[in-house]
Amino acid sequence: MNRGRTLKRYISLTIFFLRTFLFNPLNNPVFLIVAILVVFFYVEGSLDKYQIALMLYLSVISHCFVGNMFRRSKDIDENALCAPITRHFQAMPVSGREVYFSYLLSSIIYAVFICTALVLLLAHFMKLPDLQHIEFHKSVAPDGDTITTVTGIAFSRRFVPRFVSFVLEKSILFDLISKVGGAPLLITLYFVLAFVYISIFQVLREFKDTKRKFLSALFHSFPFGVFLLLALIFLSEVMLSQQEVGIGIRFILQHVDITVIFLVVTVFATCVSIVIMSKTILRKLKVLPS
Amino acid sequence: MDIEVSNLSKTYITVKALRSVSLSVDRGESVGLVGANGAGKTTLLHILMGFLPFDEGSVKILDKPSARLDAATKERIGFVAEETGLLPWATLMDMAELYKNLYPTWDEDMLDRFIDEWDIVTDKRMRSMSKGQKRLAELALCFSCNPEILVLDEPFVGLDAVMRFSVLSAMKTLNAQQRTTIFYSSHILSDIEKIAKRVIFIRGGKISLDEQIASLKSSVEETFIQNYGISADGLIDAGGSR
Repeated sequence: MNRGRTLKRYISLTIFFLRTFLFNPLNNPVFLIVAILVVFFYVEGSLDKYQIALMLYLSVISHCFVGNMFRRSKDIDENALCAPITRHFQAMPVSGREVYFSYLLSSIIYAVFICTALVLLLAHFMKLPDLQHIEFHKSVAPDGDTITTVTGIAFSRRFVPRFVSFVLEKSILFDLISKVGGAPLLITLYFVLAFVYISIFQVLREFKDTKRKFLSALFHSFPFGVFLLLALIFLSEVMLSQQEVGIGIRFILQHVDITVIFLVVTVFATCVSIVIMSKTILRKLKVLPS
Repeated sequence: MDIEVSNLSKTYITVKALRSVSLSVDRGESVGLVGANGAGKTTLLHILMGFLPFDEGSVKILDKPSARLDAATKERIGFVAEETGLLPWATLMDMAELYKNLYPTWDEDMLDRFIDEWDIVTDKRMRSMSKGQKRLAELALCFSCNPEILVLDEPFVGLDAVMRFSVLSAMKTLNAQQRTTIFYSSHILSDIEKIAKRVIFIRGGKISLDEQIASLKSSVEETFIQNYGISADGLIDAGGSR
């Protein structure tokens, strides 16, 4: 009986977060941005992995918008030392743990849905041949770069086989870095600049009117910065991985072993990122102890 | 006894917010908490709801220590804070859907009645609603949970005179028909007087007076007659006729 009511609370809260926030285009601006991008690129006639990766990034960082929403009602009550929203949740017949796990669950459902949808979209737009007997060949280019070539046999509609060979593109992020030199110093600089940018963004958003708290805010925004960087790097690599396994639903079915590993890693890393993010938000909300 | 507070003390760093506060509220009672700004009303109500830790004393609500209220107990308590805490991205109907699943005593018809009577916008998100509308939405949600106890912190903030009267009537009905215990704070004595049977004055974190409204009125009456040779009602009538 009691377990039934607890389960009902978890389900209600999860549906509430999904319905009213994460999957509500009015509240989650990412949907609008993604929709505009999809229409734009569709009209353009191409939608490559870079553009889809961009959408993927946007979707994942939309968790930041949740934090932003919570913080909008941040007027701290001097007596309760917590935001009014937190107090509202505390007054409800739900525990902090139930709110936390429900939010986590809804985030996972959202992230898995968005990632799957966008990967399928990518698979559709990349129009890679449906390859059989795939082999990867690594070679070193004159400039020292490692080039990965994929070979395989593709069949036409009339089942006429043809040999296919193409060079895999590099990871988006590392490709970008290698274009600007690729030196360790530059990579470090890139990370530092990205972190500083994200931190300043967070600071401006949260504490624009309280200069005294600047350092404290900088410190607090660290997890957000790290999360965003990790998300960017991780998703870049996911896109590369998707390409390396040949992408395409049929190929996925042929090579379940590799794909399953990639999918598990994808979901796991997304979950870990969300856990870190959710904990930070909920600690700020004082739902969880800091 | 629905609420039981004994020797409660609370200090914010150096400021003593509450000093040995003791009070009790019985089932079905309607009690008003009056005090100036900073007197300790909100602190007391927040401790009662388990939002704040305290230094000394004991606080029980529905026979459970306030610091460890479980979901089953919270289902029986309705709380409205001075500052609205409704989720800014949700509409009233979104919140109602959630409340329906969280509170077993949820009364959908009651909510519909309040929406009609108070003319609450149901499809706007909370962040787009006016302060008064938000307050009404929060009160409507709280009342529709059909709680055994209502703990309200300045429930009339942001409401106009007509809405204030309507909310007071709703509270009176809940108290009379469902025997809902009401414990609420206000700056305005006339709001307390309209439905409370008992009033507690708090000053500087201490209870300065805890008395039935009727006996308070009669003692005020006696004082007036002793000092001015005129009844308080007479004075009010005379003031009004001028």
